[in-house]
Amino acid sequence: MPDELLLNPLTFNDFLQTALDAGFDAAIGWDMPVYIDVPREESWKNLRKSLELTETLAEHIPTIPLSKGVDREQIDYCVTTLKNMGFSSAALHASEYVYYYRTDPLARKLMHTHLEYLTRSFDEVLVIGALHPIILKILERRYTGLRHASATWQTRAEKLEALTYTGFIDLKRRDIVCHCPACKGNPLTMRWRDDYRRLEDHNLAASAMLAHRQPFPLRAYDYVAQGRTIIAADIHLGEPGTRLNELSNLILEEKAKNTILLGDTLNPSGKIGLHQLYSLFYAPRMTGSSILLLKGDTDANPSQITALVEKLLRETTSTPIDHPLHDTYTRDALWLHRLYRAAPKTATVILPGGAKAVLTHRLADTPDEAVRKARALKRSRGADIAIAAHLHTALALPHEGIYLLPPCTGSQDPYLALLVEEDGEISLEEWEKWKR
Amino acid sequence: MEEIKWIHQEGTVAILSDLHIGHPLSMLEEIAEAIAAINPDTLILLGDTLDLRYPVYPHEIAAALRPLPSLIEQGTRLEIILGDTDTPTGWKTKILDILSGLHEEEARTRPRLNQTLIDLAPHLYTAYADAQPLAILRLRNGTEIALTHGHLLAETRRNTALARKARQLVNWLGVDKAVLGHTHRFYTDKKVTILGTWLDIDKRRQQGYKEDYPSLLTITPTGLTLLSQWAPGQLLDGTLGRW
Repeated sequence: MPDELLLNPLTFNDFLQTALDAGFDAAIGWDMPVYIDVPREESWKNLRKSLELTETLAEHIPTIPLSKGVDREQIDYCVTTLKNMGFSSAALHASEYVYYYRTDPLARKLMHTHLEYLTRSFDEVLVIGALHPIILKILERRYTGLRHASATWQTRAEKLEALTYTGFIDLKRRDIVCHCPACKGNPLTMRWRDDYRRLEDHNLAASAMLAHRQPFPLRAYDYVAQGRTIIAADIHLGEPGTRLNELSNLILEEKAKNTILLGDTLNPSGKIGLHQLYSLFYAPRMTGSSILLLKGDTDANPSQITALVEKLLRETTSTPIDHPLHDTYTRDALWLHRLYRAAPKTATVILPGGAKAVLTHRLADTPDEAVRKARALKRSRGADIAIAAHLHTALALPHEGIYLLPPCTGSQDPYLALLVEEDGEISLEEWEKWKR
Repeated sequence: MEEIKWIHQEGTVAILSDLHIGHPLSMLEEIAEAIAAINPDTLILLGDTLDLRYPVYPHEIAAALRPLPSLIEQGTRLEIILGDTDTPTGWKTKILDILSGLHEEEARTRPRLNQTLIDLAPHLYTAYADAQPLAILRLRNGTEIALTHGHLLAETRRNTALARKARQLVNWLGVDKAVLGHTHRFYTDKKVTILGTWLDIDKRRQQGYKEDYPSLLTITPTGLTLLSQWAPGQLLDGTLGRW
């Protein structure tokens, strides 16, 4: 709950009334902002207020009070006061401490100080929001008799992160497939971040699995493509002879929902202006397609990409703000930065239909060597399909699940790109078909 | 110091320092109000504009610099002097990350950032890309003012030490005056002016910092220079002195 609401006395009255009207069995004590970055005098005031309101709450409904405090003195005061009030159990909101446990020594210290005082003073201690597998192990080793409730953020729409055994998955750059009872093996990506109901169901189901010590259900991939997908490579934007028009036609006609650009998308030292960038993003912009971009050879240097984005933004400044394309140019330049900042060299992707594919730009410099390395890559990643580019020659071995992509530049190859249908069917699209 | 940048006075010049956008106590609304109230032809942000020690969110930049897109449309120039919190390792990439919403949105979808930020982003980034730690502002009347944040001059945050170094800089460059920031405490004498910060001073003082209310410097086209204070809700023109 936002601090303004916690500090507003009306919120407390509403909370109490709701708890009574809805017939809840018990309530957690009233929380107040007692943070390390709140001025000290303020945090003492809030701590006292929290204790007062918890006492008021306990007069009306059975209450589990909260331990609050940002140092030993405050924690001691809080726990002693709660004990003197006659409470036999207490709770700790540990989610923030857990979140920063690995990186912030103060968070670790505070959590353990709270739990030290709580386990010493109360028969039962409830820890809220610590259902992180690693933290659970640490707590079980150090304390006995802790009870656990809720993990408040198995998947956090706000921070775009998902909790795993080893840390967090950054959902801004990766997608997950979840096998919890709520998700049932479906992807849970932030493209559906506004589907709060779905996220809540997942959070509850995943928390229950953790509480029962079941294996955690998330699998992370670089991309989970749902809907028709185009995979293209070697556009070489900035160099002469690019087949970007044909690729745009293909994306527009097929109404592709995902575009995967498999390396050498542009040559930062080539002639790239706002108009070229406009053309690159035209079709994905019109179809609302998401783009997964992989680094290749010509576009592997991050400082060259940053210099290119700087050049493009500089060009944008000479376009008046009220120019009809100012907005588009700026968004395109910033999108380019984002795509390259998140671009992997090799990506594991779930294609439409559920096949697991491993994609990389350059495997080898000859087709035979590339096929041999594709087999090895497929095996090592446990993938069904391996897709590479770089050779500027199309090759499809569907029975083996190996594809070498044609280039989107030059005129020596009759093919243009790979189209993956919603049911998972893969076809090589001919260049001539999309030439207008 | 890498290179000295020359800025020539065009119309009214406003100099603000230490906005610290991204710091939890940065007064975003007040910054926007002050910029709108001055309506400058040249806006100079004298270092520590962004506080990259903290996670800076695009909406914070949009809130603080809200009046800028319309000012830029009318011809206002934005000039930035680099400070210490602006320039950690990889600062250009960090600023692009923020402006592109990389920490806010999924990287693979087209940026959905708000309109103010989209209008502002190219100008802000370009101003940063062209920024130097030291610039000389040449007024129409020939007065030359050295502009630097101050973090490269003195190791301490004391006004006396920084002012002494700034006087040396004035002599070394052969300019008339120097304007700095960095210490968050207002100071002025014949040669040197140090501007205050746009952090919430009441809260900073509660935390034990001895800092001063936001101050800013405006130079009119006729060369009248006013040192003003931003008291809550209003610009107190020339209350801190004039040159």
